[in-house]
Amino acid sequence: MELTPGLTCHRLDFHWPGDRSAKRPVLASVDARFAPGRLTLITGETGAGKSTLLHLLAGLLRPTGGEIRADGRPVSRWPSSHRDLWRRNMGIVFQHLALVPDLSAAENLLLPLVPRKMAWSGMQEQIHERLVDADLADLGQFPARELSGGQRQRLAMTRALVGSPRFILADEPTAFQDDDHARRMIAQLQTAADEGAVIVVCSQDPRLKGSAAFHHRCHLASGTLVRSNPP
Amino acid sequence: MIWHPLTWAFWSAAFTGLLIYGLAAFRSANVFLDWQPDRADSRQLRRERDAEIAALLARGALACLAAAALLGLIGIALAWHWVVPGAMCGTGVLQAMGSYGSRALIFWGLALVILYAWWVLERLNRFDPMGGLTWQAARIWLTAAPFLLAAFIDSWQALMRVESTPPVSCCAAVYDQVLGETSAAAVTRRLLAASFWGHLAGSVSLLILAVRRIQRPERGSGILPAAIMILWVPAASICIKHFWSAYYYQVLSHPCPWCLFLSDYYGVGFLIFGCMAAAVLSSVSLWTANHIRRHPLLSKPAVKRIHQSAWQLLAAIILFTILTAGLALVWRLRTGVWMTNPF
Repeated sequence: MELTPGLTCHRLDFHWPGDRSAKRPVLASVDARFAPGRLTLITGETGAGKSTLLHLLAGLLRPTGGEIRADGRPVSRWPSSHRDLWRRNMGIVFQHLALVPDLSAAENLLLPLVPRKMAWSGMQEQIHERLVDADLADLGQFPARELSGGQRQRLAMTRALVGSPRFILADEPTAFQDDDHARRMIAQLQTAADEGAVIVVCSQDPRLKGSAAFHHRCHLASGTLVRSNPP
Repeated sequence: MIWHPLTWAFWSAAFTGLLIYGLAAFRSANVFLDWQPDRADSRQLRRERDAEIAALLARGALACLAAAALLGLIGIALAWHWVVPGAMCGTGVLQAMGSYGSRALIFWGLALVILYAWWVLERLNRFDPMGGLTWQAARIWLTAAPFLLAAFIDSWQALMRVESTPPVSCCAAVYDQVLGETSAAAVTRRLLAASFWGHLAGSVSLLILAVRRIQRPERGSGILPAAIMILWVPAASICIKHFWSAYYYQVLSHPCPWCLFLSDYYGVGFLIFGCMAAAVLSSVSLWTANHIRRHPLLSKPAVKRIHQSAWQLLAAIILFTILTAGLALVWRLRTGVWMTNPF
């Protein structure tokens, strides 16, 4: 088997359980490749299956047909124990953020670093740097539930980037951001891509659609993913 | 059926285990019948999910069935003789159960040995993300089905017989064996002597094999310890019954292995037969891991497993020897004579 770097979808099918859902698949025979060092934007109407595709790429859902390969390895077919370990190479920005509300912003950033077996001082340093980058330096000790919607979203993005994961998946990462912060978030993703990360962003945000930072753009409709041209 | 809490505990664990076993077997059958790891179509992906769920269910089933077997053993050895008229230990209970009791014990043992081989294989299989041994694991899981069913049917028949049986005589069953020796006495003596030497030779061979596998786990045979074990277990059981038990009872001519489980002898039977079970399971583990040693992805964990199993085998045989021959030796040093003479 060819060892293609990055994330690759081969004839990917997905439908929710149940006979009625099986007749209307969310994804049907999707073929795609997300290469390292590249930013890919996936657009599509609400309900088109963008979040589902992202969850499949993250190994949180299992495809009903086809497979997803990460650097040539068929991770979507691995049992959960192996997928859980592999997911340590992944940073995810969920649409609903999935922060731990009672933990402070800094503690939320600490969580993905714990399994990476870094030195405590290294963790502290990295968390501080990331909080400064995200314009959250003064809010590190505040519980996540006390932050505003936009701040929480930046914290979620920072959590995805901390530890410099190989794969970064972001679902509507700029939905609650002003233009300045949206630009800064795109710049952060670009920096991660320059360091060799595979980056896939799902969004309907016109600011992202119009951004020149994305190397590839795809449109998801009727269960199929079609490559679209930059505007 | 005996109205004893342990009986209900036994059946609860056994039926729960059987139910979960059945669910796992149903999914394993799907895997066994049409496993195609080279394909990634929806049917193969469903089978992969089946295999993962079957492995989870199977671990639960194995825990329940092992608990049921242990409860059954405790029942025979320690509890049910109170409700069998005339019984004083497991011998009386087995007498009341007729041939079903012994058959149930044998089938439980065989089923658990097969399921343990599955457990070893499954644990090694978890090191390969693509589950290269999934089909083999499904096959082993299904292989245990006839033995498990036979164990259930015989256990049911045995426990149903217990209450309706006429009073038994534990000691008569034991002493008849001693006093009834007439024409067959010479043959019996020869058989006992053969068992004694076979047991000693087996113990020494297993110790040597275990030490060699500890030193060089990547080299050696897996079948040899298993083959020796098949001969060693019956020989060792005969020796416990006819030679070693006398040093615990401190009386001659009481060849009863079940009294060793009683509190009068500090339940040492659990330790002695536990060591024997540990030795058997270690050899099963050695055999299984040795088969997997040549698998390109699983060679390292298989060698590690062989190393662990060899240590377990060594420890089990040493402890078994201390608990049996060790006590006899202490007696010999204290009194200057042996209580039993195998020659």
